[in-house]
Amino acid sequence: MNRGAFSLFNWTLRRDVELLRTHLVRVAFAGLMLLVLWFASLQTLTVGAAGLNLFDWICWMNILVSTLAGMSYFSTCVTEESEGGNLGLLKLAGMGSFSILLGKSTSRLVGAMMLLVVQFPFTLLAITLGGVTLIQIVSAYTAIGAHLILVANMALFFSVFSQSSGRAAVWTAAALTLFFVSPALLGFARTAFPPGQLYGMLDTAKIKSAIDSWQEMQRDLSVFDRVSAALSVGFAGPVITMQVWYSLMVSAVLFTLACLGFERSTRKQGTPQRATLSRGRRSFRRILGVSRTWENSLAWKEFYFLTGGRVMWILRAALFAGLWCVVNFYGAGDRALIGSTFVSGILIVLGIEMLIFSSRILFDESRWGTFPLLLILPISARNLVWQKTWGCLLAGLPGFAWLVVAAVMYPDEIQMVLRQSRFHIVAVDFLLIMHFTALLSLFMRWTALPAAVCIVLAFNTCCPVMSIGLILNDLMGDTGGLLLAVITFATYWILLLLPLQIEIVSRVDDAANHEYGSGG
Amino acid sequence: MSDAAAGTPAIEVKNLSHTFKQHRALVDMSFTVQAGSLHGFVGPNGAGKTTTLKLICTLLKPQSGMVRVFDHSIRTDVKLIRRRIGFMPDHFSMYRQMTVFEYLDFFGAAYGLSQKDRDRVIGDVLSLTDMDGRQEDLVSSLSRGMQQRVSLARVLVNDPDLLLLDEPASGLDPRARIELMEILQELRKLGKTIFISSHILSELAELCDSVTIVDRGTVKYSGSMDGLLVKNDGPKAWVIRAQDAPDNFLEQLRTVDGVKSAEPVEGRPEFVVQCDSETVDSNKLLANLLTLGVPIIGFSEDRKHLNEAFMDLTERGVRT
Repeated sequence: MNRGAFSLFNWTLRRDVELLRTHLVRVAFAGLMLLVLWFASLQTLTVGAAGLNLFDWICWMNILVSTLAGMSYFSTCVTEESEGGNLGLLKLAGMGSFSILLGKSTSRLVGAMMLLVVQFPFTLLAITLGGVTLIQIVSAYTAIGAHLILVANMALFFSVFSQSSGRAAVWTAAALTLFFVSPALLGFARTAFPPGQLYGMLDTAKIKSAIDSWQEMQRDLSVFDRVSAALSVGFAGPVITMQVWYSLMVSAVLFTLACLGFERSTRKQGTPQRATLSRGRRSFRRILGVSRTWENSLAWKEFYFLTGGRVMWILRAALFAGLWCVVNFYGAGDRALIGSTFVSGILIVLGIEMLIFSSRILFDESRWGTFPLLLILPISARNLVWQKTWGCLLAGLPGFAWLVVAAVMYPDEIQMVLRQSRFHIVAVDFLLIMHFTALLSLFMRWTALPAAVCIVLAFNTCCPVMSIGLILNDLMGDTGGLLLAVITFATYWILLLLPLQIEIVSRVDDAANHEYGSGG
Repeated sequence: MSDAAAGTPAIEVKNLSHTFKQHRALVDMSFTVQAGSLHGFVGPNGAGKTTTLKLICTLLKPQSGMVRVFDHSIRTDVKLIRRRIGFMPDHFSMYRQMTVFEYLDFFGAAYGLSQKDRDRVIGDVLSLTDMDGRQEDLVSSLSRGMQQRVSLARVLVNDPDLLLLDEPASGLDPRARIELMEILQELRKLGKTIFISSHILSELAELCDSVTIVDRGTVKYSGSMDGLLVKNDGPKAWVIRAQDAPDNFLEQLRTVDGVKSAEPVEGRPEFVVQCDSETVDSNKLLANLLTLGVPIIGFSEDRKHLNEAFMDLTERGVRT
């Protein structure tokens, strides 16, 4: 490690250590582990192999949080510096691309790894609860650690090649989603190819063979398969597998590419850019460009400058149309499968989008120091937050429209999805995560989303409301399930969402204090 | 009737105190800004300028004391006050991915202006800030000086009666500073009240009608610029510059009727003459001096230098 990289790494790490927030997060994580352990110890009364259940839960939570950290925490490590105007200073200090990237990414990676280290002693207690062995724990943690390195380097790659933190987050999210869903998509595709020649040119056997190779490689690289294997009964190793080696190799390649492209790509970074339609035809610009400001000006701002405006509307609508075509094509006439897959697909895409918006809706104002400009307007903080939210919801209009279409086309399947108690739990959790993310983004910057997920997971583990809901749901049947859903939503709204909304508004009202006030 | 004509102060601050945790930012602060004036708010770093500005523009809630803006209380009439003021923070916080027109249009709409009114107002403010022809430029592509003009244009979009500008010239080159000051003078002519904070008194000296100097959360001086520069310690004094003064000119000065003392100014062919202002006014003193037969080419009141006044009023060191 050269001197520049070491200095930057050292400084970043020291700054991190000096922040009370860093230690609070680690203590909170350890506290979460204790709560989970306590919950698991209660389970030992009714369930065998409670240790395995506990460790299984911890592993999947770690995978989820590290993946979300890739979309937020890691994907901003270069863009954040350039947006803060520090990248030029680092270059002036004589630091090369390798030093900057190594210094920035390693410190964040160490910070994230520390969260895994904090958990490790607690997870060893899972052995005493039964059902899991030391080698399973070490193997699973090794796999998760390798996955974290892969995600961090993938995010670093997009952070280098993106103009802004928002774009880096979107690209990382897209790449990770594609990586995780590609085997399923290719699996569908594989079944669609008839034997023999395709259009008289390509041998479908070769295509199938290529798909098989990719699927195999993806399985080798996938943390899901590796952790599932490590948690299976009778697992005896090895600890370091192809998943670890592949992850490290791909990470090294991504890091090298990021280093090679750093100078070129960061020349124009730091200045917010937007896609321009200035070269398009006038009528085209009028339809797709930024319109005149609406009466609801904040909604206009969010719609065009946070969510991508009408261009993204069209792209989203096209994406859902494409999804319907694909699902219909591979569904082979199975109406129930097509309906439920299509609706689930729309809900997943909408959910991911809304989570990204919630992590940026207040954070962007905080980041650019624009809260005072908004708070000085003759609009209450409550209206301000509501108008901004409205702008984001408008972005989801193509998704909502497609949901209506799906409801008309597949009424029974929609009802089936809506009646599932799992759907109610996910929906409530999703709303909670969105609220927490928006609130935490005012203090925690890009780590708000993974932190919000942790909080909600911890809440679900400790709060019996959902468990009671599930039991009642099973007892009461379909009609009772819907009634229960309404009761659960209302309870959650009053007990959790409403207080969170009040807190968000209060914090926004107070934001000018934190954003602006260091002057004379 | 306008507020200036009605004699209503634009800003009235009485016994204002504010504390951040253990830190007392403002201590019993009181001052008044007349409507239609250009008032400087000067103090060293950490003096409490920004906190005061935040309180006046309703971004902070007052803890004790009273602030009234055009006779509206900042405790109860927040919306009314916000409609009548324009606030420009000290840092370049802007939506840089918007064009200049979109940026101004957005704030115009946020203030409830119709599209027709916005078109007119945006044209006017761009013209006033000399930004015609730049409305399609992305804010991020503008220089710092240009961005400051856009900020000022944004402040003017809702046609506020009171402009609160926090360090508007910081970070600008000399040319951009002079141009900004010219724009502010134009705005004063339009009847706006301008409250401008700075830590450099000389920057505001030629511009302001009145000034408030603050240090460590307390008001050290509030009043006219002339009042600030008058030396209050002892009798009135005058600076005299004579052409080809003879060697014994100092002795001659001391014999002039009404003169109490006369001293040479070091390094300059000037003399400071103190006189009894009760018996001799400036005209009479000049007439008496001319009887000496020495050509007097300079005769002015002995006033403090701006920096001298500032240093006398404020304490040394940076507030922690």
